[in-house]
Amino acid sequence: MKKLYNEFFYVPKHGKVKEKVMLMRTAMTVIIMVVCLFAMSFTAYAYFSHNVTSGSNIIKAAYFDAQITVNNSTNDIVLTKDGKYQTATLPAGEYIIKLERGSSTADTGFCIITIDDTDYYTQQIGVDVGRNLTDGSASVEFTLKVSSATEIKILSHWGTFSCYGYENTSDNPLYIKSDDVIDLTDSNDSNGEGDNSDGQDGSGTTTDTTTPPTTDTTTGSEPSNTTPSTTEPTGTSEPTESTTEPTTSISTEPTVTEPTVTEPAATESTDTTEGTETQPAEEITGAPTTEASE
Amino acid sequence: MPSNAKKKTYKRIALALSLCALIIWGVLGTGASLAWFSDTSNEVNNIFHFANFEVAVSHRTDEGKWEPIDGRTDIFDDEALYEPGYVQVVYLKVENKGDCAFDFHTAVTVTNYTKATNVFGQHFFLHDYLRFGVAVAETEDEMNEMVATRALANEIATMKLSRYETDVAALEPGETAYMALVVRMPKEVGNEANYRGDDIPKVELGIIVKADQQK
Repeated sequence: MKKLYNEFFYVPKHGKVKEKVMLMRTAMTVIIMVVCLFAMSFTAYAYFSHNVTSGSNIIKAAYFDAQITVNNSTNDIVLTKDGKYQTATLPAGEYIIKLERGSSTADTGFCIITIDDTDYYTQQIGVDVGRNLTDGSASVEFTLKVSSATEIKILSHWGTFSCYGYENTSDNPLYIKSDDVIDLTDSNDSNGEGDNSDGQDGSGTTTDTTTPPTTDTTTGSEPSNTTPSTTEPTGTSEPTESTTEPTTSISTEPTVTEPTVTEPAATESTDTTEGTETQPAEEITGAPTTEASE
Repeated sequence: MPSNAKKKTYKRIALALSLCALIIWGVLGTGASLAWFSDTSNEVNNIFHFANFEVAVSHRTDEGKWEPIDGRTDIFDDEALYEPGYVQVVYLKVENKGDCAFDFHTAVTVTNYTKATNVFGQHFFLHDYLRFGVAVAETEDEMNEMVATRALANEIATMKLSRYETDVAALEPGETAYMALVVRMPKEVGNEANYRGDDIPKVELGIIVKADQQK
């Protein structure tokens, strides 16, 4: 350092000043002036600008995984979870199937139940489309009667079923409400049709489960023209086992299976009516910052 | 030095000094004449002071009160869980409490996110399934009307959740601007975002309000 100083900055008291010392000192002065000018301009700019930052705002998602109990007069059936479905093979008999929210953090959802290659869908479990907890909607309980070993697969699906192309009509035999009876024991079994009744005669027809989405709108805005995103082919996952052990717990640990899923149906659309029902107008007041799902 | 050379030098110096004196006399005379034939008013009072630049940004709580925002303020509800059809609205207010007008704009960015697994065993990111929007209003009532119903809020929140900036708006001293930030999950989002396992899908949003003095 001293060598450098003597070389470039030293000014002798009684001697001649070297040219490079003079140049170096002049250059240092100019550099310091330029730096000060920059600092002054940035300071002036900063003085007359201002940023307000809100820290990390965390947004999280809920999940829906129905708690399912299947039992008959003698014992409870344990369903096997193979990733997305909960499956079981039911011997002949009459079964009470109960679907509840369980530990799900989502407020609402429904289930798609595949019975012998026919897809049924349930009413909303949790709150209904109007965000009301009506009688029976906290869980869905129905009766299934089979005359031979029958495989059932149950898929928990979040959201409102009418948003995925499932019609909300009471006379649709594929629509399961609480207290419904699905009777597969009569001759309809032979041609693959089921009889879904509420204690009344059902139509017992076999229809496609992937009905086109209802596009009824009240506002005249763009309809949600999305295909249901839960149309997984029934042949992609096989039940691993069926047991009749007298336990009631249902495994909810996920396993990875080969998915066949459509692209996210996250289209932007305004409200559509839920099938034949008109969605009540939701009021978002000024104060609350959170809203429940539809 | 020879006396002739000395004399020449002295002569040059004297001539240069005379020339300078002549120029100075000319400038003084001209300046004095101009001053004699012009007048100025002494009533102008010029006061120079630094402008007071002050921006206040606050958010509205559930109780309806406005609270200031700093770097640690979370304006979105951390406990809210998004599912299809869920809509969350937060309200911001920007005030010009200083003496000079400024231009401001609001930026929203995704600062962090986690990967999760859905029902089908696929990985997904939550922000791919969320929609976002900002409504700007001049009064609080106008802002409330813009997001009064779910349908209106859905119409505002149409953009994918990523980096977004509002247009630059001007705010004069004493003026206030209101903004409603809407984040929603469209009700058509299916099981591809219904997660399984212990990894909860999350998105972290950063919100910046930047104000610059007008030029």
